[in-house]
Amino acid sequence: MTFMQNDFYDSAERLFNEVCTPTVIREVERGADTGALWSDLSSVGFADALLPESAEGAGLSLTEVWPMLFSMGRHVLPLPYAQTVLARAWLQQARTTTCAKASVLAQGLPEGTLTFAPFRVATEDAGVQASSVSFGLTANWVLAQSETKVWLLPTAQAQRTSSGGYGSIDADLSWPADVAEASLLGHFEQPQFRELLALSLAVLIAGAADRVFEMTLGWANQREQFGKPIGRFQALQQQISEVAEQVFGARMAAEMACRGAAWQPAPALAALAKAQTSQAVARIVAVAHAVHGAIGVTQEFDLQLYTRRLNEWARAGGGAGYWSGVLGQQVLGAKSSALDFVRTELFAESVA
Amino acid sequence: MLTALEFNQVPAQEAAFRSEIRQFLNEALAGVPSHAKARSWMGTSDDFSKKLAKQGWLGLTIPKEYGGSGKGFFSRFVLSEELLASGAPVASHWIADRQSGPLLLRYGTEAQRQFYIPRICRGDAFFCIGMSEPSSGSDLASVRSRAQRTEAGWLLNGSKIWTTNAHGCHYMIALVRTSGETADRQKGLSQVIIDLSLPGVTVRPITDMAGDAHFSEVFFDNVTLGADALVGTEGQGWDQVNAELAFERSGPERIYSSIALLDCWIEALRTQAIHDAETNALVGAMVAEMATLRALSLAVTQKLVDGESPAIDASVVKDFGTDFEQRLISNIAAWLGTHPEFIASADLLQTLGYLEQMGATFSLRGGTREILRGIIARGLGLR
Repeated sequence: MTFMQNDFYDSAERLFNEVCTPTVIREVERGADTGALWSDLSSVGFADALLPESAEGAGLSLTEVWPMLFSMGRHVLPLPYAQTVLARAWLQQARTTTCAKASVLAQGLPEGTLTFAPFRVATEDAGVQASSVSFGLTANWVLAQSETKVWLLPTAQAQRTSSGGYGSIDADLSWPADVAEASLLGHFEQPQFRELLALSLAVLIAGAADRVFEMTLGWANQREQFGKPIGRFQALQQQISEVAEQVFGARMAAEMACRGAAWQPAPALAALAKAQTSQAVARIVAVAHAVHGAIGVTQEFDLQLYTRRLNEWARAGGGAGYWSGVLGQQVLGAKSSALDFVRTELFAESVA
Repeated sequence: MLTALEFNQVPAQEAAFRSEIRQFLNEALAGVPSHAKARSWMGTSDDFSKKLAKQGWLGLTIPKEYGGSGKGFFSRFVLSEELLASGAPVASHWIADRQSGPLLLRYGTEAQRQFYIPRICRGDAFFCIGMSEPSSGSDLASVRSRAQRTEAGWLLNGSKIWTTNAHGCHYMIALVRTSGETADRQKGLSQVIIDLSLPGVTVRPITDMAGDAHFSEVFFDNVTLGADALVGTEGQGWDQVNAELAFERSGPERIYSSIALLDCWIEALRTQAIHDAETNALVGAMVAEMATLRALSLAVTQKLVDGESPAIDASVVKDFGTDFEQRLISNIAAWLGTHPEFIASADLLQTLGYLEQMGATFSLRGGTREILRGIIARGLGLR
């Protein structure tokens, strides 16, 4: 269903089709080393897409990067590539602020993939513990925050335990005191990573939902029962059409949130995107599986690789309830009508 | 085929136009309670429509040579959005402006254009659309009303029902059979313009469950029409109607039907300082969905600007939008149930009461939910 006309999108799709096959995803889910996958994925330089040219990046805007991030979702990359793109832009900016300790980033930006841990970070016995970190099993680094403290933590030095269901790549991570101390990046008054994780996951959800929908449509046209493709039956048509709307909505919400000439998402738009995409997941996944029938829940069939991740991403980093609440608080705190809030805060239009 | 809907902004140059509309509406609608605003495009005021015409806001996209303002689709989006979100009573001119004018511009003869369109733009000619019949609802191709060719024109017999504001209109553009039989389905259908003041036309308003009469039944008993009553090509009525429905389905009216309730409720929450987590989440979810729908609707508008006929995309937005409009009502009703100590104003409860009752029509008018999902399914290649 995706008809994105964009060179970045096309090259991303080509690359991910080639190097991130369902076979590769299954291997990573079973604990295979991800070094080779990352070197294939990072070879094209997407990771520095948002970095300014002065820092040897591509100097692209979030709007320009959006098609690539969406494509990452369509291929459910088992590495936090989207997060890495945003995290590197954040790190580059942090290097220039006084909040960050220069020593941690003295050697430049870290090699490998990065994910965010903005919630559930504890500091017992001077160490750092981060619970159910999204992509915690496959990320090389975690940008974690607890109150004002921000760390750039190497997962190679963490105690890692899988924290999700079958096939999950989320993990509980724990670092001893010495690593925590050496990895402390600085003190920041505001939460730094909530919106970045929300936006990453929102775009990934939009992409994966698009892919799941494509598979569902394909299956409905291919699978025959009662002498005709099951997609000819009105009962399925009605459900698939409804899901098409949700997939369109998720994609639009994510695209909106990626608007902007800079690298940072607008906080209200990140909230909107995560809320809107997350709420759509349950229905999209349910209908996809209903249409596929029993084959859809088998290990040999690829659908599960996408729906499993969709379910996880919908609740990770704050789900629909949390981010709707963040947005709702802003609405109630404002004085304007619903339309004017939407126009000025979410569409950046001028006050009438 | 269904294609991607890409994000785009309302062009910045529309901001001044919005301010102008806003200023006008602030004066024209001062003191109107929410439950009256909730009627919006089911609320009629000939006087208000004529005031809009004086501003040059009827026939906004119609070329100036026909009395319109010659503006673009985004201007029209802004105007529609402001009128709907402010709950202006626009039903008198809404259909003439939204559908009949563009339809006549596209399919009408030069004489028809010259006669009707300037009247539409002046607010002197209100139109309704004759589609449903007593035994022809969603199955529109089964219409039985028939216009028979005579030496001088046409002889019309039959009836139409559920016709929005027929009793307040001067003209109807009706889909009728001009050849063949009911079994011929889409073949042999044509569109004709009927002057509702002609002998043999009877219009009977139907009172709805909210106590209003927003739609009517219309009877045609040997109504004599001139040869120039035919719109477009004889026998092409089905295709013309579907092109027309794309106009109806693409606008922002499928987002804002319940917005008077949302605004009234949000204002009450602010006044009473209610901002618990559950309430915040409900407000945010509704606003997020509204913003998403607005972006989808703007994407459809862009397709109109690009000269496409986004009939299927418009069905996506309409079905999604009406679902949102209806959920807004049930969610706020449920919220009131969860907060028995909350003191709701009479205006809020009347607004809710109106929308609870008439909200059922949101997914009926202009094509039912099931019909629209069937159209989407066809666009997806399932049919």
